[in-house]
Amino acid sequence: MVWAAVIVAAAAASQGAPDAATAWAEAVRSASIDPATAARVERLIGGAAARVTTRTVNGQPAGELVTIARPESAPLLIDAATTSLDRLAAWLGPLPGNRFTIVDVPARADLAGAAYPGVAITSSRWLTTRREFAAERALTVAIARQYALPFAAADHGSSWFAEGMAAYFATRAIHESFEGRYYQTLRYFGGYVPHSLRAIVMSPNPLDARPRVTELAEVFEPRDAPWRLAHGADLDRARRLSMALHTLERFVGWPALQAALRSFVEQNHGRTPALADFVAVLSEQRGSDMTWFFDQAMRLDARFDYALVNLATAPAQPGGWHTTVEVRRIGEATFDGTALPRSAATARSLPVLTRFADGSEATEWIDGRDREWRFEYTSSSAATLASVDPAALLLLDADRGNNTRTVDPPLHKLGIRLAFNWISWLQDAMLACTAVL
Amino acid sequence: MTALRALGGGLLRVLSSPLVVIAAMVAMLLAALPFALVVGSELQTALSNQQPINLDAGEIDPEWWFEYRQHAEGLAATFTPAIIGFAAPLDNLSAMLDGTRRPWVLLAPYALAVAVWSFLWGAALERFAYGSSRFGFFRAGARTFTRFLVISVIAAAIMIVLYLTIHPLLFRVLAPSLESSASTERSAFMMRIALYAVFGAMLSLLGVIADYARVAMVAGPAASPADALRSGAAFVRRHVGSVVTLFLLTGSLFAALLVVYGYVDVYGGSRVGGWRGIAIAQAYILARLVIRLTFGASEVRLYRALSDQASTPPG
Repeated sequence: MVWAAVIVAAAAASQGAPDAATAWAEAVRSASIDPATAARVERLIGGAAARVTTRTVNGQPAGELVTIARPESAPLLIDAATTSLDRLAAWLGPLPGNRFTIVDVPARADLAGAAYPGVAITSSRWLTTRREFAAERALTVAIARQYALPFAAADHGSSWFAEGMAAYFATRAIHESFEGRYYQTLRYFGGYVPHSLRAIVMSPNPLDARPRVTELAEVFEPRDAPWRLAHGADLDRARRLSMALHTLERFVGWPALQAALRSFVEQNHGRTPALADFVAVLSEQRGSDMTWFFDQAMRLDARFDYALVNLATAPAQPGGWHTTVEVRRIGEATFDGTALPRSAATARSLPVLTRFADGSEATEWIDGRDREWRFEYTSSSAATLASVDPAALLLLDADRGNNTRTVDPPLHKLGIRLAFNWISWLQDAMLACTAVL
Repeated sequence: MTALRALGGGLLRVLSSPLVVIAAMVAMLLAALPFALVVGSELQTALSNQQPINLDAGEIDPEWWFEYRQHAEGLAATFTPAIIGFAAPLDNLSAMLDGTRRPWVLLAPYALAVAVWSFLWGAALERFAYGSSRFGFFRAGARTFTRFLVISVIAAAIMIVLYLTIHPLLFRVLAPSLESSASTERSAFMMRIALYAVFGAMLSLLGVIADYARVAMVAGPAASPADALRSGAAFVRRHVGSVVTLFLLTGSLFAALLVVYGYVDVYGGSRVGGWRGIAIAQAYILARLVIRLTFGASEVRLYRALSDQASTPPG
C-alpha cells in the first residue's frame, strides 16, 4: 500500500502566550489528569514559559501546540513534537482535539514519557550529548502513547492491550524519527553524566534487514510508573504484545500492518477495543484469519523456541558431501503460519536455510506446529551454515542464539575487536579495584 | 613544597625505570588475558551463530547485543556497551562511587589483580627506594608479597565495611532526600558530588594508609603487616598536610588524563574508533599505570623526606 497523504509541517507562528501555570491549568481542564499529578506538575514548571504555535497540515489549521518549557529547551521540543505528531498522523490518522500541550519537567519527577489525553510530558536534562536526544525521545514516546490512551478504561480488563500498543507505537516512532542519529547513551554518576557511544547506532537505516531494538529503555522505564496503563503482570503481557507486533511487522510487512493499525484506530474512536477487535481488522485486511498468531503469541505460559540442534557435514562415497540438518521446537508455543488445523493442511511457517561452501543454498519450509525436522543433502561441497528462521521474523523466539549453526566459522574481526575492548575495560576495573587496596 | 618535590622526584624515578612500567603493563595484560580468552571465545561462538542477516555489515548490531546480553552468564554478563572506549573508565569510576553491584564472577579477576599488585608493589617500591642494587625485581617482589597481600586483604575488609555501612547511609538515605529538595538538576548533581567527596575521602584515607604501610615496610622499620599499618596510619596522621597535598596532586594528574581521554574519545569522531580506539584505550591504561607508579615513588620520597626531618635533631 502506498500512502496518499502528504503532510507538510507548517511554519509555526507564535501567538499570544499565556503564562505556564495558566497554560497548564487549561491543559488539565481538558485532560483527565489525576489531581495529585496535576498539582505536582504545576509545582515543577516554576521556571518555565508557555508558548503557543499553530500547526497547519496541507494548508489547513491542524491545531495549537502549547509548549510549557524553559525558553532554551522549547525550540528543540517543538521540532521533535511536530515531527512525531506528523509522522504518527501519517501512520494512524490525526489525534483528536485541536490543542496539544507538551510539558518539560525536571528529570527527578520521573514523568518523562508520561501521556494524558492531549498532554505529553518530557524532561530536558541539564547535561546531555549531541547524540542522546533524551528529551526528544521521551516526548516521542508520550506522543505515541496518545494513540493508545483511548484503548484503556478504568473498568476494562485489557489495559495491557493499550500499554502494549503504546509501547509498539512508541518504539517504532523513535526508530523512524531518530534514524541514524540516535546512539546508545549511558548515564553515570547517579544518572547525571551522559556518554554517547558512537559505535552503537540504536536506530539504524530501515533498509538494514536486521531487526531493530524492540525493548528501548525510554519506552519501558520506569517500569512501575503510576502513569502506565498496565501494572504488574499486565505489564509483562503488554511487553509480550509489543514484541508480537514487532514480529507481525516482520511477518506481514510494515505497509500491511500500518494499514490495519490505521483502520483499527479509526474504527474505534470513542470505544474501548480489545485484542480481538484488532485481530478482526487485521484478518479482514489480510483476507485470512490471523487468530492463530495472537493465540500463540499471547500465551504467557509458553515460550517460542525453535532451535537448530544439529548440523553435520561429511565427505560421502563415491564423492561429494553428505549433510544432515536437524531442527527442533523446544518451546511449547507454536508459530503456525495458518489458521487451518494441522490435520487439514501443512503450513509453510518458517524457512530453514542451509548454505554450502560453493555459495549455493537450500531452503526448506517447516510447519511450526510439528516438533522435529530432519533434512539431508548430498552436495558437491560441504555445508557451512544452517539456520531456522534465518531472516529473524520470529522476534518472539526466546533464544535466537540457538537458531543458527556454522561449521568451522572464521574468526570474527568484530568479535576480536570487542574482546580487546573488554580487556581494556577489565584492566581499568582491576586498576580501580586495587587503587584502594 | 615537600609534596610537590616528592611528586616531581617520583615522576622522574618512574620515567627512569622503564622496566618497572613495562613489567606493570605486561602483568596487567597477562592478568586480564585468561578472562578475556573466556569472554572472547563465547563472543566468537555467539557471533558465528547469529542469524545470517546482513552479516557483512561491520558495525555493531545493537539488537544482537541486547539479545546476547539477555542470555549471557558469568563473565560474559559483563560484556556490556560500557566496555567501549571512554565509557570503560567512566563505568568503573562511577560504579566505585555509586557502589554499583558487580557480578560475583568478577571477584576472580579482582583477587588476581590484588595478588599481582601485592607482588608488583614490592618490586617497584624496592626499586624506588634503593634502586636495583639490593635485590632483583622478582626477589624484591617475592620478599614482601605475603605481607603486602595481608595489607590488601585487611584494606579490602575495611572497604567492604564502608560499602555496607557508610555508602547506603550516604547514597540511599541522604542522597535521595537532598537531590529531591534541589531546585535544579545542576544543584542536585552538586549535592551528589559533595557526597562523593565524603565517601571518596574515606576510600582515599584507607588507600593512603595501606600505601604508606607498604612504604614503611620497604623503606622503614615495619616488619609485620600490623606494624606497617600502624606505622602508615601514624605517618598519615603526623603529616596529613603533605600526604593530602601529594594525593591531590597525583589525583589531578589522573583527572587530567581522564579529561584528555574523554576529549579524544568524544571529539575524535570516527578517527578514534575501531582498532585505533583500542590502541588509545591501552595508551590510557599505560598512562594510568605511570601515574600509579609515580604516586608510589612519590610516597617513598615523601616518607623518607619527612621521616628524615623527624629524626634529624634540631639545630
